[in-house]
Amino acid sequence: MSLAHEEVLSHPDHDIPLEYSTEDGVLKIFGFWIFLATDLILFACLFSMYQILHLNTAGGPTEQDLYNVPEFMAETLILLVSSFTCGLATLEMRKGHRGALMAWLIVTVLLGLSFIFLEVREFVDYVGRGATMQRSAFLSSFFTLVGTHGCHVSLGILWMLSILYQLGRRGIQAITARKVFIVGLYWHFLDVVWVFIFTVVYLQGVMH
Amino acid sequence: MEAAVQAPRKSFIREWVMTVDHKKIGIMYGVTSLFFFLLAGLFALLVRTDLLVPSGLFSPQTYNEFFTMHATIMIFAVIIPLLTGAFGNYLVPLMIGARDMAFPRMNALSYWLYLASGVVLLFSMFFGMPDAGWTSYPPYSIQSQGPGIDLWVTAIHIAGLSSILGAINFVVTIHKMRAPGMTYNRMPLFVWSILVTAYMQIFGTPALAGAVTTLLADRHFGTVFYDATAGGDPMLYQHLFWFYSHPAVYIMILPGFGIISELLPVFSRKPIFGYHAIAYSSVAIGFLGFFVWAHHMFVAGMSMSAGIPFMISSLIIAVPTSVKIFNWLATMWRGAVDYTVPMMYASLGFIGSFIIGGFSGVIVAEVPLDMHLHDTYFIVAHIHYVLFGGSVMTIMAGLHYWFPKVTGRMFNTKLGHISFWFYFIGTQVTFFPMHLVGLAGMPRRYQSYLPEFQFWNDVSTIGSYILGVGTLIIIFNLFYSAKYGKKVGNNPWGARTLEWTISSPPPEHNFTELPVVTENPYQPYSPQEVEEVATA
Amino acid sequence: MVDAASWLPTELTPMSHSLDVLFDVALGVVTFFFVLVEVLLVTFLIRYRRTKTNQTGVNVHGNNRLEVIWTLIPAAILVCMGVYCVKVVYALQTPPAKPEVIKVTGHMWFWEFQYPNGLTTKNDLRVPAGENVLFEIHSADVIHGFYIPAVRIQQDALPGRQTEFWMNADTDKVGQVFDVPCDQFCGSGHPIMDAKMTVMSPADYEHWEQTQLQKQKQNSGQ
Repeated sequence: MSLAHEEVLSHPDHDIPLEYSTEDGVLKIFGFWIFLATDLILFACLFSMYQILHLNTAGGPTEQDLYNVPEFMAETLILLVSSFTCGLATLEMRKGHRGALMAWLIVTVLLGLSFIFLEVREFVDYVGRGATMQRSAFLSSFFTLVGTHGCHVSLGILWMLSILYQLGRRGIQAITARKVFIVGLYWHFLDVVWVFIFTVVYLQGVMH
Repeated sequence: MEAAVQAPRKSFIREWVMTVDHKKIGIMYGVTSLFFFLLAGLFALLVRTDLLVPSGLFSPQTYNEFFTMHATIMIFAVIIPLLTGAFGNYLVPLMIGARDMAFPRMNALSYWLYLASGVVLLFSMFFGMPDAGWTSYPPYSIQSQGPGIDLWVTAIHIAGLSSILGAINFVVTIHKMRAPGMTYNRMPLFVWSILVTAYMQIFGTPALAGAVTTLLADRHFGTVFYDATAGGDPMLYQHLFWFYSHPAVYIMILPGFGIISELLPVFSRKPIFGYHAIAYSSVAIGFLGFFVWAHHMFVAGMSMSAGIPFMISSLIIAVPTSVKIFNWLATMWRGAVDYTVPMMYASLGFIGSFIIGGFSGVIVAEVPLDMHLHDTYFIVAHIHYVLFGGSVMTIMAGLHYWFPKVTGRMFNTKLGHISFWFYFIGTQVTFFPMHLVGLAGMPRRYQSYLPEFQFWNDVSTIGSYILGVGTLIIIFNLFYSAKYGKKVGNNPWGARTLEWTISSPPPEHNFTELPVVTENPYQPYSPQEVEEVATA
Repeated sequence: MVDAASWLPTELTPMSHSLDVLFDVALGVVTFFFVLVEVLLVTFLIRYRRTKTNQTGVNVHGNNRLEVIWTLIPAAILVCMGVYCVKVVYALQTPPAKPEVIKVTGHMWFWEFQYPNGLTTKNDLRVPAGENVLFEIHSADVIHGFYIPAVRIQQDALPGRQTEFWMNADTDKVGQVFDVPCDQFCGSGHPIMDAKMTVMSPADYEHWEQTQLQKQKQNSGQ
């Protein structure tokens, strides 16, 4: 397999992208798509719980009391831009530019961190105003849905850091290319989930 | 056990614990789940023993723990891991002509996770068993004291993760690693059934994870998902739970359907009747299986008319199932049926019993009749005809059928036939009377009951003892014969799927040369071939 | 020794009679197919067993006409059953005008009944024969199942949500007592959570309701 990818590297204009150049890469990328399907179902369940429970505030804070338009707009924009920079990273990888690839990944990580920072600030703010996840079924489902997404993003950040380390040590080859591609898939997936959170949770919440 | 004979002896740890070979993992799945089968069977016998007298023999709390353990172990530690983990792992790569699963290390991880989930359930026997039934409905499961429910949730989580990883492995393996020429329409029907099952696990299991996680959060983190006084909704849990757990019923029967579709043509020496109908009806069942879940909830607080769409989907799903039954019967028609042990389990044992569960399913799917029958012993009869008369019969058929492939030896045929009759008679005696007390209105999960229900309950209990004896005979026969059975050739049944073209037990990398496939394995038998089998 | 209960219990209401008719029809249909499959199975096992002269099966891979037949016939029968059931569902669901409303509350582990005049009883349910009775079902703690086998209906008793069903007892059942078990697992008292339902003539029922209420007031006054 190591011979195979060196061969590919020597023909940069080869049809097959590097991450798909080995059988192992093909299988793992396909397997990761299937994994994303299971994660999607998990989020679908959390969304349906939220949709059923979001008006059951039990006399506690409501959506309108909590959601702050500039705050969630900022979170949304940051995450969308991070998805874009993550895409740029993959493009640079296809061109074989290790430096640019790593730079864009670092930008993505920084954007991810600022997203997490804003989200944690939002949660702390809510809790300070008595909106804890124990207060009502609405808040239980809110924190579970948005918090699960936040955990996924945090995990994605750690994952990207470990890939950056590997890129630094080993450069772009079949295995690291596959890892960059897969973490990109994961990151875009989280972005798509956030678009739904933005719509179902925040927009729906402030539009009443 | 067998590989030790061929090669210089490897240590137990190297050979089994460290292995990533799909065949060894399959065997480990099989042996582990047979152990749990004995344990779950023991719990079933305790439950039935309690019901010998109307006042019950154990305390209600003990009884509740017994039936919870019985169902949880049977579903999550026996039937699903046996059918997908053991049969699926061992057979799929061999049947599609692959050297291993797509992700061998993840495959080993699936097994170890499964074992861990079983061990957690075992732990609960010492630290406090769950007592809320395998459905574990809140708010009762939130109020229930002790570590039982927490261990239960932990076990379900780990088993679910194992299931998802296993399913991803099957989907990738089947889509990407088939031998040259093995098109989808040439795949053995067992592989089709595992493919559909894996997709069902992928789309269903996360809902179960969501349900039990929120349950745990309500128990320990003070969330109020299911607390009606704080705006929560207990019915929500039931929706999430059944969104997984009804498809789980098909996860537990589809691979069994696949096993039957392999056995019938071999023992009838005739091509399978309606290959495409059987393959595509599995797909139809897999798809429809996600639209029937609320038929468990007709009386759970939804209006009766809201049950109508789910009643219709539940009736429709009987169509692909009956298509399979008719195709299996037609496979035997004008065949040359050999009364081998696996064939007895597959024909009389499985078809003969399973259809009772199928037909009672049509009855309880009807909203008006479910108003009476819901949660009575009629339901208990129905699920046991599906899961025991169905799934377990197919498991026994499969265990005996592939036994010579896995061990290179033949089980004791006489004991095999004796155990079959114990199983067949025991199934009817145990589970049929449950229909009758159910119709008369005896609710399930009762540690004690009204005296007029005693007669049929006692009959059931006697039947369960017959099944207990049958199980011991089977287990003894398989384990004894694995070591001392008569050696047989590579293809003692005259079967056509790829696993029978290689040695028994198969070599470590399955195929020295990848096979090239030109047709599906269900082709007519020539007299010449028959002769070869007879002399082999 | 008590007689073994092995079939549907007494039909208490006209509705339970029509549900039993539906059950008989459904049972008839599935029994027909059950017998058909078992007879074919056993016949094929015996008729086509492997013998010296019958060593191989015929070369048949399938038959599209047969596939269509055994797909469409069960589908058509199931559609008919479905339509029949839908009709029954609406008859079951539509509550009658001016019913006697009895509030049912499930507790761990007993049933509480509250009558229109304010009387409450524990595990003692009385209904007037020939009159429409509507049960409004609640739970004080966990989920219970309010089930009257003689009526052929049950509904879960849920915290935070009301369920209901109605019945109209036949007048010839006056004086008879029926079981009202809990049919949703609710803990260690689940099997003993068994109320009794007595069918009374409307006059007796009225009288009982009044005298019991007075007794209850006296008791609480003391």
